[in-house]
Amino acid sequence: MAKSFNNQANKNLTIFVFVFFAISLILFAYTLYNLTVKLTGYDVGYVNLTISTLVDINVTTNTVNWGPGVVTDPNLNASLVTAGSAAGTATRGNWSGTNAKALVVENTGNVNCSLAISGVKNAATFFGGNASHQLYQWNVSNKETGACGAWGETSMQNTWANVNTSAATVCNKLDYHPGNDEMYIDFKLVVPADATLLGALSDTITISGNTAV
Amino acid sequence: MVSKKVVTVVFVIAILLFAFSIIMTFSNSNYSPKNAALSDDTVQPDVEQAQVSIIVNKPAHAPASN
Repeated sequence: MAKSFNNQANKNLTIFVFVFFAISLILFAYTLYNLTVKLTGYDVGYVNLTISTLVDINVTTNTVNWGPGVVTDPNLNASLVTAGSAAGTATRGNWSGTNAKALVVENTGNVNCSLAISGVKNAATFFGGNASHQLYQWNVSNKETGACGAWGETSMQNTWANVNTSAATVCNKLDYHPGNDEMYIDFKLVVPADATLLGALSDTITISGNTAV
Repeated sequence: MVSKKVVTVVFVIAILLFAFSIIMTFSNSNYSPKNAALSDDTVQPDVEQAQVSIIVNKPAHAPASN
């Protein structure tokens, strides 16, 4: 009876040892496979990646210069309008539009950005004279299709509006991909014939690029 | 019947294989995506200026204001 029990116990122990051996062998083979793959296929390392986000705008056409001119008689005012990349046109006045083209703003950074614009003057402080015969306006539009993916302040979007002296975020998301990243800022000046401010007149337009909204 | 000596040898080999596997597995598991650092820098705004200019000469016969 005792011998039979011992035989059974030995048999069980032997089976356990061989099962344990089989499991260990499988585990060993798997570990060895992993090691081999790592040795021949890839290595373990650390990657520290810093992506520099750059908001950068460039005003590629940065001057609207009408040069000298006069409101032709007997008109009460002259209208001077830029039209994108074409020469500006002057009516009821003899200014030349050769150097009067829209400002062109390009997103030269590596992320979409917002665009805020402001002027310093309004029509009255630009020209003086009869308020009903003067205008100082701008009109913001895409130079390249879909450049502005999300408009902000829409009062001057593809339409004439008085120049703001406080910054207006006209575009919330100006694209940065070449071929899709340029916008126009056109200007309309209505010069009164009785302008009290004469000679060389100018205004400064500030264009700010910031994180896309 | 398998001898006791063979069973002992097999058991020892199994223990060694098992130990080797466990050690190698844990010694190569120190890579974690958490160790990969991704940093971002602060965005600085860019401010540009442009000019709108005109020279307005006085008309020879300035009209009277309305």
